[in-house]
Amino acid sequence: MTPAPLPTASDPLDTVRMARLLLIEDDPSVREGVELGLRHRGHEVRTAATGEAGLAALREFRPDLLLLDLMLPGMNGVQVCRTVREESQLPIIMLTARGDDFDVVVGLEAGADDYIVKPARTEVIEARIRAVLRRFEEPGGGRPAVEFHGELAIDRSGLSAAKNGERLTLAPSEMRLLLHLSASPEQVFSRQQLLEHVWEYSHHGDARLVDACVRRLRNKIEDVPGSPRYIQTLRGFGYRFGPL
Amino acid sequence: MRLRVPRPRGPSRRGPSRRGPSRRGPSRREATGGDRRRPFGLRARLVLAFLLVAAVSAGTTAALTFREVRNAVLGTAQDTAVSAFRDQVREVYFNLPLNTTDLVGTLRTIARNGRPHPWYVYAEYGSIRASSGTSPTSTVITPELRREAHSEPSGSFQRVVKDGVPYLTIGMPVVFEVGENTVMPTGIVLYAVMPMPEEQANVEALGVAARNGALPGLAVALVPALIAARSVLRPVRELRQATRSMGGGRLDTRIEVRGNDELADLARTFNESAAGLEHSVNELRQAEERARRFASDVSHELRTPLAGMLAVTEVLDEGAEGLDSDTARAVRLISAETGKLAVLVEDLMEISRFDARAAELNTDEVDAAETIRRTLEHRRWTDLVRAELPDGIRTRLDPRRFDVVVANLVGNALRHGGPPVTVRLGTAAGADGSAWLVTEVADRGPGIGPDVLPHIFDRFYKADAARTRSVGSGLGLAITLENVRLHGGTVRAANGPGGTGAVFTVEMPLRTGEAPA
Amino acid sequence: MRRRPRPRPPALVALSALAAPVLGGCGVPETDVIAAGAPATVEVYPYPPTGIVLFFRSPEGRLMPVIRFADEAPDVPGPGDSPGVSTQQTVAELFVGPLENEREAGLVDGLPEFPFEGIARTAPYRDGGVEVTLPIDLRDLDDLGVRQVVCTIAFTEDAEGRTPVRLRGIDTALPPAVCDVDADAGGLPVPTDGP
Repeated sequence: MTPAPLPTASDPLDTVRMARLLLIEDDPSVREGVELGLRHRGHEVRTAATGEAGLAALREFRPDLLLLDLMLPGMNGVQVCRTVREESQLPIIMLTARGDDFDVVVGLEAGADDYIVKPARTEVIEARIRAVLRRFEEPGGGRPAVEFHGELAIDRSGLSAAKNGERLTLAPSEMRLLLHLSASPEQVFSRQQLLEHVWEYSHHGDARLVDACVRRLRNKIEDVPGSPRYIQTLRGFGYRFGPL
Repeated sequence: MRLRVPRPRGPSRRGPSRRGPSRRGPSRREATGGDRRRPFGLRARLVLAFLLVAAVSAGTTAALTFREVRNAVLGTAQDTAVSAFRDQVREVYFNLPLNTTDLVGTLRTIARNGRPHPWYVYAEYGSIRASSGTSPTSTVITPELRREAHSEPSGSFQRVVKDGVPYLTIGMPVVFEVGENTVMPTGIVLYAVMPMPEEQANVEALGVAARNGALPGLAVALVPALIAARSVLRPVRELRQATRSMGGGRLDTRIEVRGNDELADLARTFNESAAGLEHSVNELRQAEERARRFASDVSHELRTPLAGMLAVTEVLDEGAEGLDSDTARAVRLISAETGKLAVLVEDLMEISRFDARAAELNTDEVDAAETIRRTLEHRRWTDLVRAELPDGIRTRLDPRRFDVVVANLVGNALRHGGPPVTVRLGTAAGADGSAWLVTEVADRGPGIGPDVLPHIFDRFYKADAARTRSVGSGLGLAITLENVRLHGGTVRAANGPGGTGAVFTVEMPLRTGEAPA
Repeated sequence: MRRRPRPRPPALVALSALAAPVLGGCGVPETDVIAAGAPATVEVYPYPPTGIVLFFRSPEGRLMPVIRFADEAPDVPGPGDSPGVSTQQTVAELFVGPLENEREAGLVDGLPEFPFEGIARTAPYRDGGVEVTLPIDLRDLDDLGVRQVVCTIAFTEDAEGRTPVRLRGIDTALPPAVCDVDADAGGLPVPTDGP
């Protein structure tokens, strides 16, 4: 996209320590280039050329984050994404060569937390990685560790949520969105605000990130996703948590 | 702040045509235009001609019939009257010379036996004037009739209309026999004056009947007239609709060919032309499609190697420090150009999406001033640009695309125009009362040359041959234009008053309160 | 190809030509004088063979026959040389002029005074005609007067008035003439050249 987004303000590198990254990418030059760039920035990078190889490496390598190309021979990126999401809260960032809208939407629906359009500079890729990996910061100090909202229990320090006592498997972006919205119940957040705070886009992000994430979250926490209680839409303004 | 009002024909015309290939179906104009009736169109003329012929023939027939029948009616009455008068007179003895008293009696006798109607009888003899009525002379009898009756040894009559009443006047010289086959005028001339009200009534009734007979004839003639007009007009109308349909982009339009007349030939010719046109247009479209696909494919293919290259530019940049100067320069050159190449390919991809009409609008309701402010802040332009951004203008737009629009225009002004660069935001009302969001980017540079102005939004158009490709892909303003159009808006470039730099004005519909995406 | 719209004279003319007989000729129109057969033949009284026929003139200058009973005739001297009434007598009565009742009808003789002692003398003319000598200047007779005299004499000589008459006056003589009542355009007897 023109003009190319500049890196976010220079956070100290140690905000996120060296991360263990798994890159699944079929094109050797991209695979090697991205690996080189990220390793140069001090991350530990493992690469895989196919989805199957990537899934195998996942168990063994136990990465902090998965960089996933959507266009893969054999098992494609969306399938890999679904497979990972079935059993894990591993942060996933899609790499898409196309930026084509349909691919992005499908990838986000499959559970990806964010996406990067190729080609991208290493600093852009790392900024996204950092944003996804950043620990959620507690807005208020004096709050109880576990909050209850209806049937929903949210553990802010343990970064987990449960409904009716049953633990929910939430992707990092879903968890962060839920924490952010529930921290200020009944307050309306525009999608740009959410992109800024949850996805750390200081710049105009893609609002579909929010919409897809809200849909996924509703599917997990709402009784009837079609008429949500927890994550409510305010037409023309954005989203809010409650009122219950 | 003064803002120009958008031209009324801006987005409403262009908007739909940019949105996908669905330009088919009859438009509203077509629907109304199809039913229009011209005062002297083909139909009216055909029907008129038909009616005229029918009117002439029916009228002539009626008129001739009327005249014949009228003359027959009147002739019968006249002949009856003349011969009855003659017969009546024949019954009478005259003493010559006449005396008035005897004459009046005689005249009354004749008058009583008038046929077919009672009549008045007048007599002239010498200086004697007598009549069966009160006045001895008649005002109806003309001098011509008297002259004729006195000078010709034969009966004569004349129809006279006096005060709207028709009269039959008969002049009858009276002769007597002086031997076998020899008669001599007595000097007596008798006149009968017979009003003809009944004949008049009959004739008038006849006229009305003739007219009433002719009018249904006209009405009946209207039916074949309309049928004939229809048979001519239907192909014409079909041809018109087909032509309009073709004009509207439906090149597969064909006309059903009926019969073997001139109109059928026309329809056949139309179909052949349409087929030829469709073929040519399809070839052009295919060629265009191939070209577009090629551009898209090329940029796609470039992206993958670029993705690898771009990821390592940082490595190159940092590693260059340890190299000898020439190698370091070469490495940095490659790194810098890789970045530009990435921007160029990205822009090409974007343009390809617009061309393929694959670009989508992901709108959100935002504060317009806030959106522009973020764009400036994000690019660290806040100190370079004077912003006149009134708060509180909320509108629905695609923030990412709007950011591209503003960034491209401001970036363009910063690069090619002179400081200070001003961004103004405002609203305006269109001619139809619609609300518009107006964004202006103005600079104080040399302005845009008049030869450049029409091409300023063209792709890869270089205003200045000396201007290098160093900054920007050459697609920035073209992408700006496409993004604005996608919003249903317009963008135009102009020079400020008095050559005070260039002004780019973006006008987009101000929409609020619609459903979120 | 675009032509200016213009009025259509042909159509208008055709329409008005059409309308004229239909709309204009609805009533009973006037006519000229039209001839319609023979005049009315009547019986007159007295019946001419039983009386004498004299020709006077009307105020308009037309020849007007008058029939008188023979015994009604005023006594006129002179030898009668024909059965019934003599030519001398009828000529004399003609010159005497209309009677009272005849004057009432506006009849006049329009003839010059007959000398008191004068008499018409009658002699057979060649080819069966008759020559009548009048004691007057024929120049005093206008054309109508000549015809009055000729016809009166002719109808005295025979019932159908076909006898040619040659008038001789003091001054001159006229060519023979017949009183031809049928052939004349005016229906009036005019002197014509006899055979």
